[in-house]
Amino acid sequence: MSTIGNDPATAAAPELTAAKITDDIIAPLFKFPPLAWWGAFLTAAGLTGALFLAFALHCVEGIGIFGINSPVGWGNYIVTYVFWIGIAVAGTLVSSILFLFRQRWRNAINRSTEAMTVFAISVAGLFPALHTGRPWVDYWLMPYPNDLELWPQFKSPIIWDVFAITGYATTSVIFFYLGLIPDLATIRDRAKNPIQKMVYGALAMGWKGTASDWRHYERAYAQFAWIATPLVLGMHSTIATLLAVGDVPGWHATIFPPYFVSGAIFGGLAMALVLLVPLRSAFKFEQYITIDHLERLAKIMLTCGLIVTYVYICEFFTAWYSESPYERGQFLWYRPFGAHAWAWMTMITCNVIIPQFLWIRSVRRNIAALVVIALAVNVGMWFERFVIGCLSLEADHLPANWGYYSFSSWDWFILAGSFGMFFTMFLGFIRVGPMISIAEIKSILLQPQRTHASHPSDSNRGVTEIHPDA
Amino acid sequence: MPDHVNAPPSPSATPEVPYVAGYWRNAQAFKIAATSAREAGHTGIQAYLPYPVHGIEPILGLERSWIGRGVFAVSVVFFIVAYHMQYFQQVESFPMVYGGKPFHTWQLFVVVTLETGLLIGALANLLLAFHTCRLIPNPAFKPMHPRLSDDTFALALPISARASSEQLVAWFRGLGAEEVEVNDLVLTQRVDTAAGAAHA
Repeated sequence: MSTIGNDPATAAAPELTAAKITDDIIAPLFKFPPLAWWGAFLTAAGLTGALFLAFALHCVEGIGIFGINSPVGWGNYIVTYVFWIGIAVAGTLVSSILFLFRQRWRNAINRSTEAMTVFAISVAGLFPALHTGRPWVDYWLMPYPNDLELWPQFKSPIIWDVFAITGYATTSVIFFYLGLIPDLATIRDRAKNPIQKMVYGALAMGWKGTASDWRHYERAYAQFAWIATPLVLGMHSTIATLLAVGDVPGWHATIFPPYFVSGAIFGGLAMALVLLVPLRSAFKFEQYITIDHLERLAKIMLTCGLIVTYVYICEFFTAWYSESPYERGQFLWYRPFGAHAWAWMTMITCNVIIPQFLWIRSVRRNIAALVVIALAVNVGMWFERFVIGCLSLEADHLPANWGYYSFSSWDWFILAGSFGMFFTMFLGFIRVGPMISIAEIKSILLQPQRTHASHPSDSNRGVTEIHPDA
Repeated sequence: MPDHVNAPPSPSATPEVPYVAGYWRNAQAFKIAATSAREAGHTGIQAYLPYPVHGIEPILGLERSWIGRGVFAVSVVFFIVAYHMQYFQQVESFPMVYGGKPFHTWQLFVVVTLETGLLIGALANLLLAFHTCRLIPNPAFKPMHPRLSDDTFALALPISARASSEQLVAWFRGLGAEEVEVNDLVLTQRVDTAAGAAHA
C-alpha cells in the first residue's frame, strides 16, 4: 500500500484496498434511501413540478406572464440561464482542465462535479429555448435546407450561442457517460438483484477491462478533456460576447469573456462545495474527499473571486476614464445608488467582501465556514448576472426609456424550480451512480507515484517500474 | 467452489481460444507475471485489469492508441464543412448586409466552425472508443471472473502445442497466481494454488 508522495490531498489511508474502495463507494447504491433523502428529493421534485407548470403556462399564455417588459427584455430567464451555465463551467474545470494540468487530486471530486455539470447544463439549456417565446419553432435556429433559403444569421452571437450550448451540452453528457463505463461494470459485477444486474449490464456496454480496452479508453478520455476545454471556454466567452456586442451601457466591454469565465468558475466551485460537503458526510466519503480537497477548491475559488473583484474595479475605472456619460451614469450612479442598489450591494458583499475570509487557513479548513461562504458566493453570483443583465437595461441611453424590472409570481416559480430540477437530478443520481470515480481513485491510491508523466494516458510513454525486454 | 465457476462467462468476455488464466490481487505481482510472459515468448497474451496500471502497455507490447489521430482527422474535416456551410449561406445562398460587414467575414465564422468541429470530434471520439473497446449494450454480460472489475488482475495465455495446459498451470503457480483457471471452451476448471490458499 502506498501513498501519493507528499501530496496530502491524494494520500491514502493505509488500510485501503481495491475491494474496500469499491465497497465504500457503491454501498449507497444498494441501500434503501434514508428519510432525509426522501424529504429532500420530494421537495426538489415538487419544485421541478412548479418549474414545468410555469413553462406550460408560458407556452399557452406567452412570455407576458413574466416580469419582463420594456426596457428590460432580458430578465429572469437569461439571468438564471447564465447562472446555471456558470455552475456547469466549474464542473468542466475540474473534470477537464485540472486533468490536463495533471492535478491528480481531482480524481476524488471529478465525478460529482461532472454530474453537477451535466445537470446544470440540462437546466440551463431550457431557458434560452423557452425564452424564444415560441419554443416549438426553436428548430429554426438550426441551419437546415428550406424552400425560402432562410438561414440562421451566422454573424450574430445569438446563433454562436446555439452552437456553443449544443456542442458543450452534448460533449459534457458523453464525457460523463464514458467516464462512468468502467464503474458501471464494477457495479454490474457486484449487483445481486437481477434487475440491477441487467440495467447496469446494459449501461456498462459489456466492458471487460482488457489492457487493450484501457489503452483506448484512456486515450478517448484524455481526448474528451482536450475537446471539452476549448468548448467550455468558448461557450462562456460566447455568452459574454452576446452581451458585449450590444451597445448598452454596462455591457459594451471587451473584458466580458474572461470576466464571465472567471465568474463562472467562482460560482461553480461554490456550488461544488455546497454539494460535496453534505455528500462526503452522508456517504462517509471523508477518507476520499478530504479537507485538503475542499481547501484546494476554496483556494481556486478565492483566486477566481479576486479576478472578479479586479473586473468590478476595472469596470468602474473604465466607465470613469471613458468620459462617456452613459457608462458613468450606469456604473457611478445607477448601480451603487439607483433603484436596484440593494442588488448591487448584495453582489459586492457576497462576491468581494465575504470571500476574503478564505485568505485565512483555519477558515478554509472549517467545513461550516466553507459552506456559509460558498452559499454567499452562489447568492452573489446570481445577483451579479441580475446586475449585469437587468440593471444595464433599466438605465440605458434615454432617460425617457428607463424602467424598473421586478419579478412576477411566475418568475419565482422559474427560479425556485430551476434549483428543484437541478437537485432532483443530482439527488437521483447519487442513489444510482457512483459519486467517486472508482477506477480512477484506485489508480491513484493503490499505485506508487510516478516521477514523470502523471495521468494514465501517459503510461505508455516509458515511465514504468518494470522495464520489459519486449 | 466459488459461485462464478458454475456460471459460464459470456463468450465475448473471454479469449476466443482455449486458455489458461492466472489471477492476482496485487498489481505489482501481476506486472511481474506479465513481464515474465513476454520474456518467455508467449503470444496472444490477454490481460484484464480492474483499473489502469501505469506502465502495463509497454510490458504487453501495446502501441499507443490511434483514437487521437482519428478524432483529429474527423474534427478537421468538420471544421472545413462548418466553415463552408457558413460561407455558402452567407455569401452564396442568401447574402445580406449585417452590421455593415462584408458577406465573407471570416472572423465571425470562427466560433461556429470551432464548435461544430469539436462537437463532431467528440461524437467521433465516443464512437471510436465504443469500436476499439468493442462496447455494445449487453444486459446479460457475465465476466470471466466476477472480481475482474473490482480488485483482481488476470493474465490469460492460449493453450497451444508449445504450451500445454499443465505447463501453463505450473508456470502460473510459479508466479504466485492466487487462482488458476483452465478453459478449453467446453469446460472451465479452477485449479487450487498455494498462493490462493494463503490469500484465503
